[in-house]
Amino acid sequence: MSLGRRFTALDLTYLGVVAAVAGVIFALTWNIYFLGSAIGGPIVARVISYGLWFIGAPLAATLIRKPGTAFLGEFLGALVETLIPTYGAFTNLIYGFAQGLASEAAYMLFRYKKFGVLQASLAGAFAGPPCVALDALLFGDIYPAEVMVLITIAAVVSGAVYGAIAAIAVKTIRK
Amino acid sequence: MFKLRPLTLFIYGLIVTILAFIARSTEQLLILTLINSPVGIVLGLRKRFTALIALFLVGLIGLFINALIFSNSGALLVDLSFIAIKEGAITSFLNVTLRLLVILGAALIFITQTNARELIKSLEEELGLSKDIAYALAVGLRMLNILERDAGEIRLVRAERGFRKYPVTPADFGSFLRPLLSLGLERAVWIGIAAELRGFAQRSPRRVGLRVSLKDLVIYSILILQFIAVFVMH
Amino acid sequence: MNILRAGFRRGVPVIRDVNFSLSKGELLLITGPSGSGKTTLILTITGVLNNLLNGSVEGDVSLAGVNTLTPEGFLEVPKLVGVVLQDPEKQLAMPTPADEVAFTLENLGFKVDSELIINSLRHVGLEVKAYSPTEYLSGGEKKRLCIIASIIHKPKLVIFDEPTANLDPWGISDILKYINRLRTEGITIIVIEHKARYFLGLADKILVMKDGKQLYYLDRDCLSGNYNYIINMVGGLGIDISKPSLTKKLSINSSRVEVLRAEDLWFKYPSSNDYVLKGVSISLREGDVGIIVGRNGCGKSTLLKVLSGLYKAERGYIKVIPRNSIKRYGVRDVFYVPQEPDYIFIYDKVLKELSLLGSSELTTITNEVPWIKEVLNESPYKLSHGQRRWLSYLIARAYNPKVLMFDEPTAGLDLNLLKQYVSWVRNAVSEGRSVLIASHDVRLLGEVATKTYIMSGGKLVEVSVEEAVKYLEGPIEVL
Repeated sequence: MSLGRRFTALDLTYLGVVAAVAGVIFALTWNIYFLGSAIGGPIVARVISYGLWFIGAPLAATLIRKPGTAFLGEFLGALVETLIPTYGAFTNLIYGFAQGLASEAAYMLFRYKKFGVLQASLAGAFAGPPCVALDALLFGDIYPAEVMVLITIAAVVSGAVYGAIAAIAVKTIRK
Repeated sequence: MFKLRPLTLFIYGLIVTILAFIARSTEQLLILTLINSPVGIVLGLRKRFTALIALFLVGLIGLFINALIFSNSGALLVDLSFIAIKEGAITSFLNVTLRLLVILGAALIFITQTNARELIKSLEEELGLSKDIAYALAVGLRMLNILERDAGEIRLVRAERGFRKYPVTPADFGSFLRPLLSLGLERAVWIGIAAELRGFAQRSPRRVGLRVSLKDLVIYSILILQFIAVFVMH
Repeated sequence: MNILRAGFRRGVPVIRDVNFSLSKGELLLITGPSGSGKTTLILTITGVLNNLLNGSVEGDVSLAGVNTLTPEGFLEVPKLVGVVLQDPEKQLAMPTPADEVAFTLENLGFKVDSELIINSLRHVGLEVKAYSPTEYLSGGEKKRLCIIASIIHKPKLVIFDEPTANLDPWGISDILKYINRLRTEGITIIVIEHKARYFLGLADKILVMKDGKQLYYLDRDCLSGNYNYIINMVGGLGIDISKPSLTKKLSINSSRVEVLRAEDLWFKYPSSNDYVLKGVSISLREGDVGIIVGRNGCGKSTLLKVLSGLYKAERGYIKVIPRNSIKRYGVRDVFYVPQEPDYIFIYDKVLKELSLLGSSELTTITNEVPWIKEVLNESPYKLSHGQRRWLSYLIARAYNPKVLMFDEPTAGLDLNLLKQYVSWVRNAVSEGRSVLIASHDVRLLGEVATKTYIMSGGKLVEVSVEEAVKYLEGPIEVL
């Protein structure tokens, strides 16, 4: 940018929009998670919902394409969710922080040169393991080892799918 | 009700939540619950956060089933003919329930007694949050209101066109997300330009440093008490 | 100011050869049809285009001695200029009016206290709403908030982009009075507006643009009260410069069947105790074009939503004749077209949006609207705003409704685009459909209305076209 600043007000406004959109999606995802748990148990619930909780990072990064935006998209989304507020309350902040950092790593791997569907998908997938780890740590969601593996895979797959959806959505609306 | 500073309540809520996770024994959790949950729930019911509390109760059923499936070990307590409930399930269920009660209570205290706008302001002025993040958050709050309206209109027209009002499948999500983002980003371009034209580049926020009043001290003392309770009883 | 070339991409200029100068206290009106480069011109002279959007600009801009095209000059712009953009939803960034005003002041290094903020909000009648969410303000209030937040630091130049857009006549009247007040205070003003007729009486200079070029530049000597001369000169450009005509009326065949009847509709939103509709009755026959006029927030849109079955009325009944099975996918007897076309899109391809149509119908449409063929595999969101609106009409028609309902369909359209819309409505009528439009756009009335209604205080009253025009023109003293 010609002004030599890291973020212009334009980038930051985008970030604000993503935070709000992500916050609303995060809030709605609780319903999907509970519905999934009731119908299909813990694995189905994670496949259909977890990726939605990781969507702030791929949305923000695909859109703004600057270092740091993946983390901020996810974390600020979680902060907005806390202010709405939802079931997760302040735990959202802890999750948002960890997931945002994990997703940011996906873009860092590509040295912030590429912000495409692949990277978005990876960003979603990367957020899976820390999220499952926090579930176990915070809520005692500890299952037998083979179930844990399945749950982690479920979270990773869900993250990858919704990460890709987020990136494609941004591409179809970007003029 | 005397008015508390949003920053104090934010720090309080965040730390109590973290404490709820550090606490492992039922006794520790019980102390945290007794301090936070009744106050939070009473405040929450007064300010119409009934839906959140209801969702919490619904969530308990899932937690109980979870506990039955994965932690049902130890001494036998009740033997219903179709399932035997053992001590492990009850302890696990009780602990997670108490933990969630603490988190819910802390969140309700925070959300009923504060307003997000003032929180952002004090994060910027007192904790030195960067102007970039403070601005993005303020825009996010403004957008939240607009999004609500957008989402309502989109639902109406979706119903008119014979599509699901509430998204369920990933395809639904895509079709819901596109108009929300498209409208949001179109606004964002101009809001961003307008902010630059109003001198955002030169903004240097007022920093006043952390201010602590007597009321805040009371809150911090309660926080420290809980801190001690969790670590001493460890 | 002397701008040779300016555009978003080097080598693709949007604006060419525009020159003008303004002295202190003058009001310049920049007018021209949609797409003539008016808004890009603002971005250019404020330095936004090349400093923020990576566009390219050749030429000189001097604003009170500052060259806004340089990075250093661009930093000075906020102090010198206040810019009020077209759509408040695309300008207001903060959650409450008080924050909005404080934002400008804090950016520019002023000391901010609540007294100053309340006093400035009092200036535009918003002091009681200072701390309530911006979202709860009306359209006119949001506009006034944009203005005060842009000029509170007393800039030398104030720029208004389409200040009358989306406002009802009462809102327009407020804005005209406000701009006039600024003018008498000696502030230099640039107004960009395709509804030029509202500003002819205020302008010291007029710049007419077309296709990014300066077509006419008239200063005070040329103007001196001789408006007919200007009206004749720019009349054909798609600029609203004269009063709307009432001559063209649709011929009405009196023996048509009734298609929609509603009686004694009562409706209120669940969140409120006040009824929005208080016993509204309406009847439309085949081929009718009904236009409901009224102030912003009078309940016009709500009525359309109730009539098209999107909201349930609390009392009263609605009858659509002949009634298709509304439940069946792909057919609606009454179809409501929202003002914002983005709300209506579901798919990521234009072709999929039109998938209800058979191949012969699709061919008819691509013959009628040639550009559709080019974009069938594009995402609807990549189209221009005008094209998106057009697509939303086509989607509505694909549901083969007997009655089409439009919410403010002509907001922001210049005269040329308005004429396109009118011809689309006439076409729909010739297919045997009826149309109901909620609007405060006086230009529509003479063009298509067979029935006109005034909505006020939750009641709907049928009036003559002349009465409806008088109702809408009343608040504004033009010329």
